[in-house]
Amino acid sequence: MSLFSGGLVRLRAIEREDIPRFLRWFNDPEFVLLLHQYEPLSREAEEEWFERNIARAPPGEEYLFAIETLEGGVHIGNLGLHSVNWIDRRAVVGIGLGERDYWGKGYGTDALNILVRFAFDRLNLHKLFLYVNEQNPRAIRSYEKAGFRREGLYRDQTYLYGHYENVFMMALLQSDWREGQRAGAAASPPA
Amino acid sequence: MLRGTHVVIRAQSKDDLDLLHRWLSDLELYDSAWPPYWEFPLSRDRLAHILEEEAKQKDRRNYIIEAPEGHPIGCIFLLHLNWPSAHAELGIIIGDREALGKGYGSDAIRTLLKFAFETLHLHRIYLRCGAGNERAIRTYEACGFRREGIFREACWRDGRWEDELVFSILADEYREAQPA
Repeated sequence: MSLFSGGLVRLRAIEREDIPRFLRWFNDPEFVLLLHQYEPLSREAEEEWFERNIARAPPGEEYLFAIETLEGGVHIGNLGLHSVNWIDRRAVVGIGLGERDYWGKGYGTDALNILVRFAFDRLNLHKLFLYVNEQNPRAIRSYEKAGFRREGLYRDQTYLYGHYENVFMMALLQSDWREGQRAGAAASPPA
Repeated sequence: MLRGTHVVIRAQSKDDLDLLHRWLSDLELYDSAWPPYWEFPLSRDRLAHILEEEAKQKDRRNYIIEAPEGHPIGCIFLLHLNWPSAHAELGIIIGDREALGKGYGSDAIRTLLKFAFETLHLHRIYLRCGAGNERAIRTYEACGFRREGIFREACWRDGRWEDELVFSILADEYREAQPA
C-alpha cells in the first residue's frame, strides 16, 4: 500500500483523456444534483474547467485526483481538496463517484481514507471539512466511516428535487484522525 | 500595515519605483544585499520590469519599511514561501543611510517575524548573508536567529570567494523568546 493507494482504489492525476467520462457523469441528473452542479454541462465548459483547474492550475490551491479501481483500473470518480487555506491549514473535501455500479461498495470510503491521509500526513493540514445534504445518507455514512463528525446544520440551504433541504457541515481534525489511527492500529490483530 | 515599536511595514507598490531605484543605485548598499546581484547599474525601466515580475510571484511578498516620521527607509521581503512546509526566506535592505544604526532594521525584522509566525502561521524563517557582513550578523542574532550552516565559497565577489551563512528561527523559539 503506497501513499496514493488503498484496499480497493488508487488515486491518480486527472488527464485530458478523462474529459469524455466527466461529461457523461456530469450529465447524470442524480449525480450532479448531489454535487450542487445544477445545469447540464457542455463539452466546452468541461474543457475550460480542465484548462483552468488542472492544466494551468495555480499551485497549492486545489489537489484533485481521479479515483481508479485497483482491480481493472476503472476510473470511477474524482475527489480532491478545494479552497486550501494555508494560514488556517484547512481544506474542503469533495468527492463524486460517477460510475453508479460502484456506489455503496466501499470504494468511495477507501478513496476518502487515502485523501485524508494525504491531507494530514503529506500536507500537514489541520482540518478537513465538507458539506453534505441531509438526504444523502450513503455519503454521510461514508464520511463518518472516514472519521468526519457533524459540526453544523444549515437549514434550507439547498433547493433539490423540488424542495428545500438541510445541509450538514462535517469535519475532521488532524489530531482526532491521529488518535483514531492509533486506536485502530492497537485494535487490529498483528499481521 | 504592520506596526513595530518604531517602524511601520506596508505593502510595496508601483509608486515606490523611483525610491527603490534611488536605493539600488547606491553601489555600497547594493553590494551589501545578499545573495549578490550583478546587474549594476540598473536602469529604471529594467527595475520596473523586475518589480512587475516579482509582484506576480505567489511565493514572494515585498514590503516597504517606514521610519517613525513616516518616510520610507528600506524594504523587507519574504521569499520562497512554501506553504506545505510553512517556511520562507527573509530579506531586508535599509536604503536610507540616515536610518542606519537606529535599530530600525531589527525592529522591522522583529515585526515581520511576529507577522510570519502569528498571522501567516509559518513554522520556520531563514535567511542568508555574506560571512563578512558583521553588522547584519549582529542584527540577525539579536533578533533571535541562530546560525545553522555555512555554504563555503558560495559567492564570487570582486576578486575572491565569499562564504554564505544560513540563519534560521523556528516558531517555538520565537514564542519562547517573547516576554510573558
